[in-house]
Amino acid sequence: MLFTTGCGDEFLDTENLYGKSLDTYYSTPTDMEEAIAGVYNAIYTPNVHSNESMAANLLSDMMLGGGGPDDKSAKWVDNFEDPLEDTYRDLWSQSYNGIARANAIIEKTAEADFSTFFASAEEAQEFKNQQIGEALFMRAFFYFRLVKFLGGVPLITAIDDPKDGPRNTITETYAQIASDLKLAIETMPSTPFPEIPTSSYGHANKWVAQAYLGRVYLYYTGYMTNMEGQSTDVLPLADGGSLSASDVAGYLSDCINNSGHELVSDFRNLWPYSYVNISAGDTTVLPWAHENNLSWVGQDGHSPTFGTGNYETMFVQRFSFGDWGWNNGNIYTNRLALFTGVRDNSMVPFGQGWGWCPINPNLWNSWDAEDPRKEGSILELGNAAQGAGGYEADKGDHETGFFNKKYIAIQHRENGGDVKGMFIQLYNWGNTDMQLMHAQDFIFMRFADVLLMHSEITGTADGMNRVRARAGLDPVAYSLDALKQERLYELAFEGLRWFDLVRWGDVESAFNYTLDVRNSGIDAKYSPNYRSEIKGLMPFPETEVRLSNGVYEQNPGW
Amino acid sequence: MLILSTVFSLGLFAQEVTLSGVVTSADDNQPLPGVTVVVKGTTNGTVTNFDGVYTLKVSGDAVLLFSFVGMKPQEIPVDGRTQVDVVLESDAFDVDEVVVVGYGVQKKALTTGANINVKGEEIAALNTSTAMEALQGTTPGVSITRNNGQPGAGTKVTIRGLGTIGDSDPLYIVDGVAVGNIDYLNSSDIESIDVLKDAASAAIYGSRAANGVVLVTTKKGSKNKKPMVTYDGYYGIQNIYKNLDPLNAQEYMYIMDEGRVNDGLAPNNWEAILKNNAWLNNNFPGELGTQLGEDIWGMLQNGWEGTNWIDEITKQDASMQSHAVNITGGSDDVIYSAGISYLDQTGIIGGDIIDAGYKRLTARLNTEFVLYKNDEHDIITIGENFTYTNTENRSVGTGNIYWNDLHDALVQNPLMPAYWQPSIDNNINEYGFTPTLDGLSTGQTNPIARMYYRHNYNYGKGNKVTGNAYIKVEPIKDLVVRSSFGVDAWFGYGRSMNPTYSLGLLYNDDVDGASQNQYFGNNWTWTTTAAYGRLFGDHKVDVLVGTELLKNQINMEVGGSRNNLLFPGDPKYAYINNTQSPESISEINTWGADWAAGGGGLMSYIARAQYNFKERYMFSATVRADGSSNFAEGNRWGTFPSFAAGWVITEEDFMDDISILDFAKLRASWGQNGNQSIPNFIYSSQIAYVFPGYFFGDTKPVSGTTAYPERVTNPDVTWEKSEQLNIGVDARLLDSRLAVTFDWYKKTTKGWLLEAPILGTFGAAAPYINGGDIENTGVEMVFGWNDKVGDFKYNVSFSAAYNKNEVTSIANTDGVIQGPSHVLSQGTAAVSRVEVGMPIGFFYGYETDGLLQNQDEVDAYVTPEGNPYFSDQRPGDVRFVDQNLDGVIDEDDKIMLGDPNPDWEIGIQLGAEFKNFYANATFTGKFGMQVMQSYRSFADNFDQNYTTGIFDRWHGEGTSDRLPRLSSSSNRNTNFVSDIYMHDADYLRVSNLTFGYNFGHLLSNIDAISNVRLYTSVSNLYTFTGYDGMDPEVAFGHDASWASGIDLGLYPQARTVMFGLSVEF
Repeated sequence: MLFTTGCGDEFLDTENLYGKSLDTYYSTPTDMEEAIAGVYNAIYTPNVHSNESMAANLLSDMMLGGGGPDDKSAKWVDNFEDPLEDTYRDLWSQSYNGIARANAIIEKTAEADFSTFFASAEEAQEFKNQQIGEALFMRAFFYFRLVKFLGGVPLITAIDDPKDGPRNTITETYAQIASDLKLAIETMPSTPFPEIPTSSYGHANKWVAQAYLGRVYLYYTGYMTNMEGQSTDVLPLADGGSLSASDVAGYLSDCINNSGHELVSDFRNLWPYSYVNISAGDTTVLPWAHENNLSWVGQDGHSPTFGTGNYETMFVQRFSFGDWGWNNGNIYTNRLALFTGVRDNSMVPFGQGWGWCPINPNLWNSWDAEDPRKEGSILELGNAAQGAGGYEADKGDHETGFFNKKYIAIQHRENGGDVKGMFIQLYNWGNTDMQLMHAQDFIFMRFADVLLMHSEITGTADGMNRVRARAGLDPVAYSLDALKQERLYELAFEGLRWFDLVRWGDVESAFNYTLDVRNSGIDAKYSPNYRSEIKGLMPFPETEVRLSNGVYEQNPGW
Repeated sequence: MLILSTVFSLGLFAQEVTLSGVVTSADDNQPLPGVTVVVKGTTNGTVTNFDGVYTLKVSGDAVLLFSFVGMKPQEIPVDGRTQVDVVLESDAFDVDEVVVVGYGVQKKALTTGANINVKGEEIAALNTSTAMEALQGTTPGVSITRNNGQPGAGTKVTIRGLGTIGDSDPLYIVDGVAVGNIDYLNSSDIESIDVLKDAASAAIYGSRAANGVVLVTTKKGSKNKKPMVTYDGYYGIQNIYKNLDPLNAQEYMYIMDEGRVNDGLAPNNWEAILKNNAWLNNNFPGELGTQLGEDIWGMLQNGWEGTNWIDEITKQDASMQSHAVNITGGSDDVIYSAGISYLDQTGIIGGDIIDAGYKRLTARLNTEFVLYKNDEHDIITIGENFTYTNTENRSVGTGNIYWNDLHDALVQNPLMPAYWQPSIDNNINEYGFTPTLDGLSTGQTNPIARMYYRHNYNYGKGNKVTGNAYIKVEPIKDLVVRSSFGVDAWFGYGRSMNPTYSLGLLYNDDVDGASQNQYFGNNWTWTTTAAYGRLFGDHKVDVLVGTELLKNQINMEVGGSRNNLLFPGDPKYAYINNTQSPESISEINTWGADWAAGGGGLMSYIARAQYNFKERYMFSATVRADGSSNFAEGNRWGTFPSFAAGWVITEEDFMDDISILDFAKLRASWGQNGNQSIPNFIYSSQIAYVFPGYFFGDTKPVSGTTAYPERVTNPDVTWEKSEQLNIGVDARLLDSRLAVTFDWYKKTTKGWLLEAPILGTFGAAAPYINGGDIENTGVEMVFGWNDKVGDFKYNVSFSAAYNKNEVTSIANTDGVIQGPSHVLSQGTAAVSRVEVGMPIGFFYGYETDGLLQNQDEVDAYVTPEGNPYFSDQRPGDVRFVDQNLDGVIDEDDKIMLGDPNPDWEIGIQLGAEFKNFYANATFTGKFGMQVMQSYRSFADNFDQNYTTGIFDRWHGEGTSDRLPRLSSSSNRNTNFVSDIYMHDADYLRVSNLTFGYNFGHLLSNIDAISNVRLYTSVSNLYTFTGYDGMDPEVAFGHDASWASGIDLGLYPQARTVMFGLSVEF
C-alpha cells in the first residue's frame, strides 16, 4: 500500500513570519519602542467626531457647527443633539485599545530584563523607568479622555482584569488617573526638555505628566463642585489618599522652574501661517505675516527640521500625511485643519476645508484689537492683508465671516508651478490631495497653559501675567474672571474651552445667545441649545450598551 | 426504438458461426467504436473497432447484448445469421451511466445523494464565457449569480443557501485537484460537471465541503478510437439590453430648481453658475472658465440637450468571439485529449475608452498510458491532466459609490460636455476631456476622464497551470491503488503608469510614476487511494480508503513604484527603471512577501464503504478526518462522518404491476462537513505591525515602526461544521419519457466561524469564535419530458428550488452583525445586516406608509400623544412608521424590509429537433427577493443627476405615494434608509435561444469532415421583470461578502447575438 503517513502532525505546524509572538514580545528595547508607538497610535480615531480636538471645538461656545447642508453631524454635536448611535464609539474603543497596550507594557516591562542591552544596570533601569512611566502617563491620558467626554468608565489596569464589568464612578476613574500620573512623575527621569534628544520628541515625559496632573486636578475639582454639586478641592488617589491644591501647585512649580520649557517670544510664531512667506520665498503671500516679522518656531521640539526651535509646546498629537490607499489612511493627517478650513474657497495661503466650526463673531467683536492674539487666532474673511481678499461667501452653513487661523489649510504656489499644500512642499510629499496634506501637529499641552493653570490653582497672577506680557499686554491683578478671559484668548480653538466652561459651571449660561448667520446663502438665526441634564457629558455609544447587555448605563439626557 | 437491419443467411442454429457486423449511431449514422458485444449469459464478448465493426464466434441460437455508454442497450437473437448490423439510439436515461463522485465514479442509478450531473456539451452549447454561468437555471439548489455583466467578472455560487458570512464558495475540484474557481477553463475543455449538494455526497471532502462541492472532469480520450478533431467557434455582438435614462440638461435644471423652490430658495441662475469657473480661470490663462460657461450656455440656447454620460461610456456592438480546437482519441494502451481555445470579449462599458475586455487562452493535454497489463485487466497505468491558462482582464470600476464607473456616469450633471476642444488647444488636457464646472460644485469630475485615468494605464496578465500526474496500479483484479500529485499554480505580472492631469480642484494629480509587480503561487495536493469492489452473489461491496496532503507551497508577491517618469505621458516607457532618481522617501514604495513561507496545509484520511443488494438496496458510509494548520494544536483535527441509503422500489416484485413507473428510487442521507477558511494564526494573537504608526522625533513624514497586539486571542477556535439531512426521490415514468427528481433538505451550520463584535474594553480587535448557527431548509425538483413525434423530437425540463435561510444564533449579547454604512449614499446608515431569526444579509431600515399628501394628512401624522412626529413635517414628506408607538422615529423603529436572497429559483429548458434543424431555449428565473437601489449620493451631493424615474416624484397631492418631494439639500425623507429604495426584483429571463442546422447527412461522402453544424443564438434575449434597473440580478453587496442586492448602477449583462460553427473532422 502506498499510504503517505510518513509525515506526521508536524506537517500542519506553521510559523508566523509576518508578526511577532505575544509570548516573547516586550523583551528588547526595540520591542519597547514599537510597543510604545502602538500606545500613541491609539490617539488617532477613524471617526472624526471621536477626535478629541474636533469634538471639543464643536461643543465650545466660540465655534459654531458650520459645514455644508449635508454636514448634519457637525450641527447635531454643536447643538447637543445625537440622533446617531455611536458618535463617540471610536473614542471609546481607541482609548481602551491604548489602555490595553499600556497595561501590557506596564506588566511585561516590570518582568523584563534589559541589562544585556545597556552598558550599566542603572542605564537599563532608567530605560525601564521611562517605558513604564510613559505607559502610565498614556493610560492616564486615555482614561482622562474617556472621563471628561463620557463620565465614569470601567477601570481595567491589568492584562487579565475582567473586561465586562460595569462603569466605575467619576471619582474612582479620576483616582486611577491621578495615581497613574503621580507614579509616572515619580518614575520618569527629570531630564530638562532642552537635553532630551530630538529623536525622542513626541514622547511624554515627567513635565508633561506634571502639567496633565494640573489639568486633571482643575477639571475634577471643578466638575464635582459645579456639575455634581459635591464641592471638593482635592483630587483622590486610588490608594485612598488624595492630592491637594498645594500638592498639585508644587508639581506645576517644578515644571515651570525645572522643565526648561519657555514661552515662544511671539504667540503667532506657534502657528504654521508664520512660515508661509518663508516657505514660498515670497513676502506677499501673507502680507500681514511679513509686516509683523513672523517666523515659525517649528514642530519637532527645540531643534526642528523647519523653524527656529520650539520650547513652548509640551505634548502634541503628531500628524503627517494621509493616503487613501492605507487602512483608515486619512487619520494620519490633521483633520481639524481640513474640517475647520474655509468651505469651497481655495485661497492662498488659506486653502479649502469643509467649513466646520465658523467663529462666533461675539469673540471677534469683544476682543481688543491691540491684542496680537486676535488676528493671530482668527481669520477675517475678505481681508486682503490676511490673504483672504478673494473670499466668496455663501458656500456653507452658519457662515459668520470668520474662521480659525491656528488650524487651517496652508498653501502657496510652488516655484511658479501649481498651488500646493505648504507641508507637501516642505516635506516633498508625493500626494497633493487637499484632504491629506495637513502635517501640522495638534497641541495638547503648551507651557502657557501650565502658567495659567498655576495661576488658577494658586490664585496668583504671576503665571497669567507672564502670558499677558508675551502678548504685549499690561499685568493685571488675579481674579477668576481675569483668568477666564485670559484662557479664552490665549487658548482659543485649542480644544480646551468646552471643558473650561463645564468645570467653571459656566456651561449653563454660555449658550444664551442668538447670532445672525448665513446658511448656504440664506439669512438665518443661530441659537445653540445646551441642555443642563447632560451635565457636560456626551452620549455613551449605544452599541457598547447593547454589547454589555445593559451593564453600561446611558448618560442622563441622551 | 430499434432500427435493425439484418441480412439473412443460411445456416444451422446451435452451431458455432463467425458472426460480424457494424454498429452505428442513430444520431449521425457514423460507426460506433468501443461498443461492447457480449453473448448473453456468458463472458464471451468483444468490442467494436475504429470502424464500428465486430467479429465474434457464437452459437446460432445465442442472444447478443450490445451496450455503449449513453446508448440504449439492445438484445438481439442471432437466429443463425452471420451478419448482424445494429443501430444504437442514444438514451437520455442510460441505466449504466456513471457519474463522478468523490475519488471515483459510480453508476448513476446507485447514487444515494443529491447530485447534479451536467455534460460538457450542454455547457458549451450555451456559449457562456465561463462554465458556471451555463449552469444558471439548470441546477436546482445551486444559486449562480453573475457578479455583474462585465467580461471576466465571474459568478457568485451558493449551494443550498448561505451557511456562513465568511467564505461561502463551494469547493471546486478539477480532475482531483482543488482550485479556487473554474473560470480559467473553457467550456469546450469540460467533459462534465458534477455538483455534490448534500452532506453525505460531499463528506468525502470533509473539512472544505460545508458549502458543497463542484467536481469538474476535463475531456479525456477513449480507447480504440481514431483521432477526432473538432472546431467550435462563435462570433457575437454585444449591446446593452436595457438602458437607464439620466435626465438631459433641460430636465436636470428643471428638477434641480424644483428642489430649491421646495426649500423656499430661488431657482438657480444657471447662466451665472456655468460662467462662474474660478478654478479654470485661476489655473489657466485666458479666462477659460468663463469661456467654457459661455460655450455651454450658447449650446443650451441652441437646443443642446446635454451629455448622456451612459451613452458616452457605452460601446455599441462590442464583439465577443471564441475559438476552440479539440483532439481526442486513443489506441489500446494510450488515450489522449488535447485542446486549445481562445476567448476574447470586449466590454460594453469602457470598451472604446479603455479597451475594456477579457481575453483568455487555454491549452490542455490529458493523456493516459497502460504500461503493463495481463489478459484480464490493466496492471499499471500512468497519466496526466494539465491545463494552462493565460488571461488578460481590463476592467472598469464596478464597486461601491467610490469605485463604480457606471455610477459616476449616472450621477454626473448633463451640463458638462464630455469633450471640449479648447481643453486641447490650451494644454489643459491632451485628450480634450472637459474640466470641472466649478460654479456648480467643486466635487464633480468628468467621468470619462476618471475612467480613463483610473484604468487605462494598467497592464497585467495572469497565468495558471493546474493539473496532476498519477499512477494507477491494479495488482489483483478489482483492487485499484491510485496515487496522484496535483498542482494549482498561478503567476503573473502587472505594470501601470500613474499619469498627471489637472481637471478640477478635487481632481488633479501633478506627480507621475510607474509601478510594477509580479506574483507567483502554488498549492500541491498528493492523494493516494486504494479501492476494492467485488460482487459476492447478489451483494456488491465497494470500499475505498485513502490519504491526502495539501500544502500551501508558495504564495509570494513583490512589487514597487517610483514617482517622476523619465518619459512622461508615454505608457510604453512606464517601467520603474524609467523614473528619475528619488529625492524623497515618499517617491518610492515597495512591498514583498511570501504568505506561504511559514507553512500551512491540510492532512486528511478518507474511508468509504458502499454496499448494494441486487442494485435494489443501497447503503454507504463515509468518514474523513482532516487536520488543518489554521487551528491551534489540539483543535486541528475534525472528523466528518456521513451515512446514506437508497431503495430502488421498482426492483421490488410488488411494483411489477405498476407499469406507469419505470424506475423509482428513494434516497436519504445525513452527513457532516466542515469549513476551515479563516486566516491562519488567529488562534494565537500576534503582534501586528501597523503602517503608518506614530511619528516620534524629526522623521516626518515617515513614521517609526509601530506594533500592538492584533486581536483578542481565542486558542479554542476550531472547525465550523455543517450538518445536513437530505431525503429525495428519483423516478422515471411513462416509458421513461417523464423524469422526476425531488429533494428536501435541512442544512444546519453549527459553530459558524465569525468575528462577533465585542466590548471595546477588550482593547483589541474581536477574535474569531465558533459563534453561531444558521439553518437552511429547502426543496428542489426537476421535471423532464422527452419524446418524439415522427421526425420531431422535443424535450422540456423544468427545475425549481426553494430555500429558506435563517440565522438561529450569534454568540454575543448583541445578536447582530452590522453591514457597512455609506452604501446607498455617503452619510447614510447600514442597509444590510445579520441578525438572529432573520435571513443573512436582510435589508434593514424604516418602513414607510406612503407620503403625506395634503395638510390634513400632515395634521393627522402625530404621535400617540397627539404631537406631530416632526416639527417641520409638510405635504410631500414620507410617513415613517413608528413601530413601537413611542412617539419618536428612531433606531428602535427599524425593521426587516426585505431579503436579497430569492425564495424560488427556477429554470426551464426547451429543446426541439426536426430532421437536421434544432432549437433550444433556456429560461432562468428568481422570485421573492428584493433589491435596494440608489443611483445618486443623495445625502451629500445634491447636484448629482437623477434618472427619469424622478418624474414620478411627489409634486402635489396624489402625484406620488412613494418618492417624496424634492429638496436641494439633505433631508430625512431620503436620508433615513427606508423601503422607498427597495424594489421587488422577481424576474424570468430568456437567457439563451439557439437555432441550428446539422450538415452531417450532406457530408457522408466526404471523409475529412464528418459533421458541420451552424447555429445562431441570442443570450439574454429578454427579461420579464417589474424591476426598473438595468438588471434585476444583483450580486453586489458593497463591502460585505455576505450581503447582496445593492444596485448603485450595476454593470448590466449584455444581450449578445452569436453566430457559431462546429466542425468535426
